[in-house]
Amino acid sequence: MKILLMGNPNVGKSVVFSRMTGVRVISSNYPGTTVSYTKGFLKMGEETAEVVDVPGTYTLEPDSEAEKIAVKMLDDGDVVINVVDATNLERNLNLTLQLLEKGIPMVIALNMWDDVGHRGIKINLSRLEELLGIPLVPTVAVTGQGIKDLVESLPRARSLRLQPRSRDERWAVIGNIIDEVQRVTHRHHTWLERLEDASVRPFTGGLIAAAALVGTFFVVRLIGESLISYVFDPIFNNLWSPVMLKLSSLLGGSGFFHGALIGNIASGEINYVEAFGLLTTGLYVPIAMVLPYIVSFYFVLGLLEDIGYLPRLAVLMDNIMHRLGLHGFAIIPSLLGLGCNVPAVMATRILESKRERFIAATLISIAVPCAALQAMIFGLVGARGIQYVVIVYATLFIVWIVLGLILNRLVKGFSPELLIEIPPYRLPPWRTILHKLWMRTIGFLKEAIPIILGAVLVINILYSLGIFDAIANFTAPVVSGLLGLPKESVTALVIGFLRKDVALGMLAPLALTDGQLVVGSVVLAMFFPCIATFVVLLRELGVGGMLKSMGIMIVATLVVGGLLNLIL
Amino acid sequence: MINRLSTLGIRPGKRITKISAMLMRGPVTIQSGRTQLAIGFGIANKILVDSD
Repeated sequence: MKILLMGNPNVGKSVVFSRMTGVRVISSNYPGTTVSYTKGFLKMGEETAEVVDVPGTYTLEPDSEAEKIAVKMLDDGDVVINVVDATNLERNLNLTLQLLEKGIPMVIALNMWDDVGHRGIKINLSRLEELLGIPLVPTVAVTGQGIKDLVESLPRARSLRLQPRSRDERWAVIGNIIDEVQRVTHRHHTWLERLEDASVRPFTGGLIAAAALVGTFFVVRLIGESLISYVFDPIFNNLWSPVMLKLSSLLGGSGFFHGALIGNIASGEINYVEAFGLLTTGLYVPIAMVLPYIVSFYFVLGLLEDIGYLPRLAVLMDNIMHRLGLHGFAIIPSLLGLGCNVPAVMATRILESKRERFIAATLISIAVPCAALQAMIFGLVGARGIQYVVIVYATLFIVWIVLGLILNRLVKGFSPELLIEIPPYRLPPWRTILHKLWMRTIGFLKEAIPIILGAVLVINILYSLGIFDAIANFTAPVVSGLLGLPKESVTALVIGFLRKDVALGMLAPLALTDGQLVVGSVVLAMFFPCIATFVVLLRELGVGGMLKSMGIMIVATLVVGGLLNLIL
Repeated sequence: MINRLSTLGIRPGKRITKISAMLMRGPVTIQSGRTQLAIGFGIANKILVDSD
């Protein structure tokens, strides 16, 4: 049996899904968090049913890519659980009626039931169930309330095969239902509601956005730095170093295996960034340099997501984003890109047109550095002085703007106007925040550590075979001539295809000048996306779009790298 | 577009409240029932309202 979870965007389908199946998925407080479907399984007595978390859709006449997926999935489902936002019954029932016309057996989960009372709404449950003619279960998915009842109601799912109605007829029916079952009492504005309104006004909104940005930056740095200096550096320096030194002397202090496992260590001191052994740099980079910033960045991002701030930022940014050929909502994938470009490129599916998706994905893969690379930029470039970090960020930001302006001119078509729903501010429970942080952190460790170890191994092998020297000599005119970097730094650019954080680490032993390090960081950030991003770009843009995007990237990198080299 | 607006609660005869508007023809935030929406200036321009 196949159970489909369907409903409007941002009604909590993913939370219901997690509760039913135990499969953990990312949920946030903005429409469009789920852009592809996730499957899980649910035991119902003897039988195991497949549960599918379908992207949210307002109607069965879809507008966006994510909604098209949703409608297509409807064909091979056996039962639909229509998740409905109880605080927004009228709008949600439109999809409910359309689903009932399709004739698929259905039950309704009336989610966010706890919020109904808070918002001064009264709903006559039994009358609503009677009018709709299918089982109705009130749920509070974030706490798990009602989920058991929902699962037990599944066998009673009914298919009504309503006659297809016209749009106006449907709204008339909904109007009658609402009049009969729902009473809304007036109530004073809460402080959260006042804050909601202030966030989308030009002046107060601008102040709030500036505060959010500055706050984010400081909290991310504070948590990241503290984790590095009080937790991970002490662990590596005090506990791990003695083990490594012992191992080093056991291995005889030199040879291929010593080089691969431990790397270059100078008399009794391990420089974890420059050693380039599997057990030294291979572990230090992901765990002690990148992980702290992954944790701090995703903690703050998760807070902003779950409170519901991001759609408001989209409203504030809409004007600027339109100049870049996008609309305000594209700010959300772009911010996700500061964590990791892979989910960011996938999130561009919430944008309506192919043109916008192309521009957004190209800008993200070129000008938005992921958290892993940023952590290394802070670690290595920051050691030379904070002004150099500022130069790197300012350059990337200018590239983002200028490239957007150019693409807006060059790519045919126009960017559609903004039309998004703005969810209410919610105070997310700590459990949900930490849960999401945990998932993303584990996701990072699982994906990054094997690739980082692989990259370090590949580097050692290529070095010992002398292949890097060959590549370095071959590309010297561009790398040294145009970018002003020593020819050995091409190895970093090659490894950047595997992991950008390791790649930047490879620049560390080259004794670069401050200017060269800045050029190297910017070039690494803009040049070829890492392999994981490459794969999603290919999937989301197709071969043609991908090639165009890559062409733009190579030209942009060489121009910007060359210019920086001239200036610095 | 009319379909999309209507599914979001902007329909003939519905009461909507303007909450804010961005400068320089930026998006307008409106509320209809329990739904808050941000809509581009061009679309907002085409929505005709009677004030009460």
